[in-house]
Amino acid sequence: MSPAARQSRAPAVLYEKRGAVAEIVLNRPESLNAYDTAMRDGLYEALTAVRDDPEVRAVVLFGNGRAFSTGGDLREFGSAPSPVAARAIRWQRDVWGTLWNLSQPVLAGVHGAVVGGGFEMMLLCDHCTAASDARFSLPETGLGMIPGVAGTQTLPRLIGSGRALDAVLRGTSIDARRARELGLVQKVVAPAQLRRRVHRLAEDLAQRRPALLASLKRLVRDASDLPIDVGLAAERRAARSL
Amino acid sequence: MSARPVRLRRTAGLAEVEIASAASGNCIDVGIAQELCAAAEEIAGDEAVSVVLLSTRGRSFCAGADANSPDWAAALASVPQPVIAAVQGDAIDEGAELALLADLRVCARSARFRFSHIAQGRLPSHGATQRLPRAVGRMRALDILLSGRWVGAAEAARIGLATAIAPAGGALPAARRIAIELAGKGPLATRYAKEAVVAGSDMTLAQGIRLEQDLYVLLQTTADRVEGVDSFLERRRPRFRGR
Repeated sequence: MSPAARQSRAPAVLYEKRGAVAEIVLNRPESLNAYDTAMRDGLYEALTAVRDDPEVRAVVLFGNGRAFSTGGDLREFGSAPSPVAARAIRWQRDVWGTLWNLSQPVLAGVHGAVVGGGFEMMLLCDHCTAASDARFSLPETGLGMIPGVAGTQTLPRLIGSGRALDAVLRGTSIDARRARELGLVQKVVAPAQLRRRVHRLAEDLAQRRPALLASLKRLVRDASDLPIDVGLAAERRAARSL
Repeated sequence: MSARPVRLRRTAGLAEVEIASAASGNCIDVGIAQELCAAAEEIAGDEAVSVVLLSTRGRSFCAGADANSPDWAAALASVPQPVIAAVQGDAIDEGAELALLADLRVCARSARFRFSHIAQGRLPSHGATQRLPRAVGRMRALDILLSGRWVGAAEAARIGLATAIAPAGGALPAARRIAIELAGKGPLATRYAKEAVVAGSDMTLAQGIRLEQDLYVLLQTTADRVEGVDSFLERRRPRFRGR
């Protein structure tokens, strides 16, 4: 088998359980982990496996190769079905809703290019560690598009309206240090340390009671959607029941 | 040259709105308010405009507004194109609220913001209580609104009130550069990106994601989106036409 043929057979997403920690790795290094239908299907499979597996208590997410992910694979865009069909598929296999709604904490470890949908994927996680070489941007408007993985919604809620508009409209590139200042990533580490550091954090979290983590995650996530008295009541109810 | 206090120039996708009332510190009086409303309406209806640049003439950005002016804030807020403000000097009270109406704020190092409504025994009424926390967070917004203190350009940049900083005297050219940069992007895409961020922040996250996705799919039906992808694959600059 030629190297090219072997490469084309490699799964676009790798999934492995190590004890209570599930590791999901984007695995299209030859395309800088651009998101195509194979990756969509692989991610959907991995995320639903996590969702349905009570043994999994924490999830880590990485990308193989030089980049975490450069977002949607533009080479596929010409062959895409009609917008009507694309919209239907988007909600039938709701990869991003599945990621967002996981009850386990999801820890991203990102490096290199973290661009477009790749950046937005990270923003749907619960904690992000960046290698010092990570660079973040949303180039969509320069291509006649807008972000399509919830970035227009997650980003302003994280960093405020002005900064989010700057990132979304201009596609401004953000380096790892700036991303930490903005609160987009919580830690910056040397590239060689990235996986070990994220795994260590996941193992720590996997020691905690899953129901506790699930409640905390839901309460914090829903805080921006709820009137505060409703959020406070939900917090009290959850605290009493745990 | 027109002696009107609000000037509207349109060139190559860019609409420049300038308040030229330096003698009064660009205070928004009834006449200026009426003209701002008219300019906003005209821009909103002009599909050839993809970006708006808002600036004022003189040392002060805007010193406030007369009460009982027509609702210039609502008119400017309804502009669907991205709006960039060049803040070269002090933006006070309604002047600070005027700057907050823009999507991007380019501030000279000498620019300052001040919301002194509370010190005057009144409430902001042109959006500060809503737009400031959305830009900088609730506690910072309360600190700034309760104290009525000056917020300099450096702090404004640190907390996300200014989205870019320019040298003293350089706010307008820097803002114009950003406006031209945005005018080179897909005009429907920049409008929809603004809509997704601004309208989406009034919704629950799940609703906002729906809005984003519908706008995303709508863009898939446009010639600009085809041109964007083709130009990327052919490694050339895109030529967007706004359809």
